[in-house]
Amino acid sequence: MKTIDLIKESFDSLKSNKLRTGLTILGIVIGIAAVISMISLGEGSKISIQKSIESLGSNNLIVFPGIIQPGRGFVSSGRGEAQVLKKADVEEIEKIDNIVAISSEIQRRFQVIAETGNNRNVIILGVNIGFFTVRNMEIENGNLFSDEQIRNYSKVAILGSQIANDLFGDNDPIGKKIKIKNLTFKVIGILKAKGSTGFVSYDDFIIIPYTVMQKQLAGTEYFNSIAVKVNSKENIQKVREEIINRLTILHRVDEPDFTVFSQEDILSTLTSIINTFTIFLSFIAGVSLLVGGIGIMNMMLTSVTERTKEIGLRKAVGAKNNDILNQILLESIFITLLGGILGILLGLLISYGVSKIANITTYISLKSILASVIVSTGVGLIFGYYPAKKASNLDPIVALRYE
Amino acid sequence: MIELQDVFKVYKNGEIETIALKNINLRINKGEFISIMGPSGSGKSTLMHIIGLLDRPTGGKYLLDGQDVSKLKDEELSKLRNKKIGFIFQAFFLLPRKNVLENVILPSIYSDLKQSSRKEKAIESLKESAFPLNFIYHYPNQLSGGMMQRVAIARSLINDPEIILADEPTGNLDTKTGEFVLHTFQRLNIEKGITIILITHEEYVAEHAEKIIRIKDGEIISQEKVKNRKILHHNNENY
Repeated sequence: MKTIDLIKESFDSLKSNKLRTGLTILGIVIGIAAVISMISLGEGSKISIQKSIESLGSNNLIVFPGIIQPGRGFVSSGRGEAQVLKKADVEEIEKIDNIVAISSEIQRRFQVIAETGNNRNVIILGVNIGFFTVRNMEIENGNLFSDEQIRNYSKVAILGSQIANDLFGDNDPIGKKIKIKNLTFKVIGILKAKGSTGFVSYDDFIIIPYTVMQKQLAGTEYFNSIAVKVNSKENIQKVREEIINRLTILHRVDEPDFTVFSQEDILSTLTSIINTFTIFLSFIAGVSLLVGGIGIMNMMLTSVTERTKEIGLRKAVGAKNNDILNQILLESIFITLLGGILGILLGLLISYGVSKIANITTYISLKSILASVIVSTGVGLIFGYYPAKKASNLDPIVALRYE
Repeated sequence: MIELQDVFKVYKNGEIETIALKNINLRINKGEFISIMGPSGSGKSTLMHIIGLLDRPTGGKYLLDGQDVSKLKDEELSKLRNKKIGFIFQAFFLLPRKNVLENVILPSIYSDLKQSSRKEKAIESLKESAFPLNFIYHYPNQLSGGMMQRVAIARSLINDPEIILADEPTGNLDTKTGEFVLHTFQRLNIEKGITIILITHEEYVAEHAEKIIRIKDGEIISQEKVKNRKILHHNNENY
């Protein structure tokens, strides 16, 4: 039997019961659309996390005080309690090759009052000059700190774009005064807006020299973290080991009392969380695809039973078992293929809608489209096979007598 | 040529064995027109199924044109049926979703006939079965019983069969249209040399053949020439 005839015969049978065929296709459409939109959501969040982490500066290593135990994650590590990172650590790290910049950071939360009378509870970040390089921060308006200002405990502040707006509204904050814990600071610059990076948004921070922060606000000589920008990806591992060695010796401890994270660590942790989530969602969506597949099997079984006589006749006039098998299989593959294509279109529409309405990044890769075409055709093959086999094995004599 | 040698057919249903055919020895030459007669349950349908390659004998040999077909695989039987045998059934068995032309074409899609020549061939077959050609795009439910049987005859002719097997072809027709169908068989037999095997339980119908084979309880009880054969009048067949 020629392929063209096979296609024509299959198509004719499907056409003969349009409503039933349509409803069965709908089952597959829903299944595929669900899978596609779930995957697009997962892929989208992966990409947006990746982007926001990269926007914090690439090739970065971050040294935190304290040991982060595997399995407990780094959020719940209670790192604020461990105090080990001091200026000496920064100077030790400076001796390492292949480092572009070092950012030593200390943060506290304080009540801030602006000249305008507005007040907010804000995270104040004490930094050195390296901060702006390491964290990819740029000044929108005004100036950066100078080395002198940092060395001389100058009470100058750079505002995040959001906090600048909160405190000063439409007024230009440059040159204005703000009060942090009774100390008066002069605003010298505004940061360029960066948006949320997933955990922190520097738009809500106030940046001041770390010297003032340590001495006059926090009353400590320790840092919360030291971030290091490495000159290239290849050197990250080397620099990390160097930092661990040097600081361990400096601290005179056997085991490091600090932890070095790379951005890749954070990224891969987050990615694996999202992957798990995506798989979970896709699995649920996959259940609806399975139900769609069962719908096909149900329809094909009904249709084979209805067509018992026809199958008997076809066999009597010379159809081989394989001709019947192929025809029924092709019918179910056609249903899933059409359902798959429509499902992809619906899935695209849903993910577009979600990204527009809920403002969530979605991403549909060619891979996921190809995969769903293959999966839906596979569903057709698997769920069509049993009815097709049943039809092809019909005894023509019995089939022709079937009432 | 059809040759059955000591053909047995036994149906097993659990522990119970039913002998449908025993000791069938039969020879039907090419171009013969025979009737197989017998009461219901006599095994005539089983015999037709075996001759028509829809079933295999339990024992014995079936030689079709010298080839032993009793051991052939399903695939090969399908091929032979498609090529050599045309079936006519009492209930016509036309596909309701296909029009007349498509119904006639059906066996040819399982054959080597080129797609471009199918329609031409189908129309030729419809002419031979005396089907009125202005109805070829009608659907079976728009046709009378006699016309449906003509479509079925045309369908059996499309692959140029050597044998036509007709199982109670007039069973669902009135006497006049039945007669007409029988005359068509006679014409095909004479003009095209097609072997016709007619299965019936009516003496009157059987007498259109040259020879009647009587079967009872699975055995052939007689083979005789028809003395007063009902032969068609060679004038124009207008339906």
